[in-house]
Amino acid sequence: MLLDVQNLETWYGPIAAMKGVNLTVAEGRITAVLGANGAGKTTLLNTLAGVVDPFKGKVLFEGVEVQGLDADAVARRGLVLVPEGRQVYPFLSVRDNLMMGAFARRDRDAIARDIERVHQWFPRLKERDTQHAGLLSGGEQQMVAIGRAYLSAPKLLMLDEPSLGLSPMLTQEIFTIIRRIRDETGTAVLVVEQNAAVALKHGDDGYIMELGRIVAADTCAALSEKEDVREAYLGGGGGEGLSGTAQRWKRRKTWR
Amino acid sequence: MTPLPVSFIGHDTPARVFRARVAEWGDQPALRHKLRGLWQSYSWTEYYARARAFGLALNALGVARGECIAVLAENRPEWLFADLGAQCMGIVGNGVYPTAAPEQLRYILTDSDCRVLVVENQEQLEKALSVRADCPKLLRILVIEREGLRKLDDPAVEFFDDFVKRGEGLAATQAALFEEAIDASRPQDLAFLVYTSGTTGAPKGAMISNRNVVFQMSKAPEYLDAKPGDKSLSFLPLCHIAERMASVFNAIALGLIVHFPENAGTVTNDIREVAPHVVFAPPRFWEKMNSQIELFLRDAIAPARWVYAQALARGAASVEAQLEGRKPPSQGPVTRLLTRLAFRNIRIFLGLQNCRSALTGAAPVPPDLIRWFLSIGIELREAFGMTETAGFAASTPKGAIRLGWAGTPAGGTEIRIGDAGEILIRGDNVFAGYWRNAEKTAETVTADGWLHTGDCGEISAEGYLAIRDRIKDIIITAGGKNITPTQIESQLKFSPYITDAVVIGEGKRFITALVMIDLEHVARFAQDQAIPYTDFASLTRAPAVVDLIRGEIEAVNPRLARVEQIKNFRIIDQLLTAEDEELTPTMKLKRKVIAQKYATLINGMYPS
Repeated sequence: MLLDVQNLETWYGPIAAMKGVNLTVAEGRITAVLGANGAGKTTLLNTLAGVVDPFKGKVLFEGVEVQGLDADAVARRGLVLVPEGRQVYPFLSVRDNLMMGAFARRDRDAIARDIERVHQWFPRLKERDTQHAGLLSGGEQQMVAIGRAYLSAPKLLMLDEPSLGLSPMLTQEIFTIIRRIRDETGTAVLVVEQNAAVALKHGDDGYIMELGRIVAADTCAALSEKEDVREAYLGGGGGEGLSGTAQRWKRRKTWR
Repeated sequence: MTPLPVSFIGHDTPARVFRARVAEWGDQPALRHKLRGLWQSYSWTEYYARARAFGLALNALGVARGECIAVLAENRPEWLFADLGAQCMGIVGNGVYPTAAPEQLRYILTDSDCRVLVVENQEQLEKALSVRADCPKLLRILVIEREGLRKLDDPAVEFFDDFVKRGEGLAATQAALFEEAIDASRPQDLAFLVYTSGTTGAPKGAMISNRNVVFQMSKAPEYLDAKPGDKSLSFLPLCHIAERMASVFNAIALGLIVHFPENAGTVTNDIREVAPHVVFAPPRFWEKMNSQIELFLRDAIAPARWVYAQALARGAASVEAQLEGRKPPSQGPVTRLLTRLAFRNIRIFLGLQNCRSALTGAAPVPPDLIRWFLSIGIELREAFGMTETAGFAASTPKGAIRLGWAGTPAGGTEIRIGDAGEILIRGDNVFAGYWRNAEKTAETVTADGWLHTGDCGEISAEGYLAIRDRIKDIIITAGGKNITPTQIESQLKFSPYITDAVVIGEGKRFITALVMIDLEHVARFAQDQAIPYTDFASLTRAPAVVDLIRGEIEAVNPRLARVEQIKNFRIIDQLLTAEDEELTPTMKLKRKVIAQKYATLINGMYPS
């Protein structure tokens, strides 16, 4: 296992945001974590990336404990986060933004090759090479954020809601490229998403989080067959109801 | 033989008692409902006016005396308006569990020839609409909440408030009609139906007559210590006999203010806020209170834990004295202080600081639970009753708890032990039979009026009744020993980690158990112990969790006879909900279904 998370627990003051999460990411696979607002998905990524320190639990990355390390130390080991809401540097050019990702690297040739790769994946970024990143569209900024993360030579790329604020088409495009990144470079991906349909379609393994706990774990294909997943995340379950939404009866989810 | 008349405050039908109480208590509050965080109050007069409007509107719709209506909703005032409105008009009330699946709803609607169905909201309406085609007798569906139904356009579906408003219009001219209908009510008429949860076979509609209800109302002051204005909280399903009696008829008998929580999830907070004087709940509910405190104290600071442990230990002698009917030994000032420090706050925390009548029943009560509640100053009394006795048939008198005994028969009724140790009951609380099921009725009530409860038990020299088990559940092992599984299961269920268990061993060499774990507590245990798991199934398979449950079972085993001891167990690896066929609406495991569904799991415990 590339990443093995054991009983990770994170608190914000008196609030337990993550209550013992167990999860693994295998090499060369896309692992998706789904969940509603407040389920603890972002907390999970932030804890893995070293932005927040866990209260308890272990994070084994390539068999070495990395929990509690500083964010930069974690990133240097190849555990790289694309934060929610992109967070590009608005007054730096697109190229400088990308180069910020390579800040910790010294292998110039490899950096140039990686930039070339990013430009292949996102030709748009090549066109806008010298523009301020703040002037790009949301989708382009997401591309910059992913490209920047890739330039720090990740072994595991963690994406926090890459579909946020993007059109359905652009979302598909971003996910197609995430798959290309996995296929072409063998980078493992851990993606947290609200857009379950897209995440389950493109992901390999999936986890469902609720109120700080994992409630279901399986391959994405198997998860999308589960009735509760279809109902809660994929808008399935029965025909049109009286209120115009899908017909459903409130019942406790069992994730069978 | 004409039965002697049964009356309460001079009236012999619940409708007339209700009318008399409204005249007596008028503007005093009768019901309170929490809506968006605020308590809304209804006085007795308003209660009566709403019920009258509903009854008159039913009449205008053409629902005749003796026909049925049903309510499919969580507990709320509208439930009572509909139920009493119908009963005052001589129309039979009925309730359906809000968790019922559409097929269950279909069965009850067709079996009772239901004419009008009151549903809570869009969600329940969808359920009703999906089975409507099979219910030709159904005239109208009334929806209480309008949310999400702006586009509703269906001649047979109407909003509850519009219906009541129409009834209020009718009341201006036809109020006399309602009064006449109440005057016309007779003790032998049906008051309402209660569909038994049916752990075996299809549910049966138990017919509760006016006479049964009035008899039970006259007994309410016997087992409840309450006065007008005292509070109660209505949180168990109203379609169950116990809650129906508690929230509708005991309230009329005693003048309780019935409080309805905002929803099922807010009960713990609401009980703290209401601080009811009267609480009836199954043992499971009380066990949860106990485990809540135990777990809470595990996280408390050391001095708090010390005070609690000291107070419990010092109170133990006094509890034992109380149980043996002796005068408790006098306590020193330190003990009194410790007790006050620890238990007063616990009572307030649980919302029981006003509670004068705490009752439990419907399942075996673990003795340790009663001891614990006695220690904290709550006299948790056991009672015995069933749908077929329209509520309580026996209850523990105040100040006279006998551990393991469920109490003495209600005044004016007879209880004796029949063949095979079966408990037989005769009296005015015995129901009027099963709806359109003469065969089952004849099996249950003999011609001379004895009700066969299907429970086996014994009666002590003091006249206390003890319930051992359902006769059909008794296990005979390969060694020929008779085992009462419910008693063993109740001991297991006292563990906070075990929600329910089924003991197995019919024709087997030894006893085993299937265990349903309590997700909340076990998940917390897993978190504390850093046990890796992802979903429910992986939690049940975690070796540490299996060890935890084994430990709980091994703690119970020494208290059991050798042949009763549980030699092996398996954990059910699926999270079950009330909609699953394995559980009754009251969340009990159905023995037969479990035995079939988990046959492989069970066989795995008996290698040949």
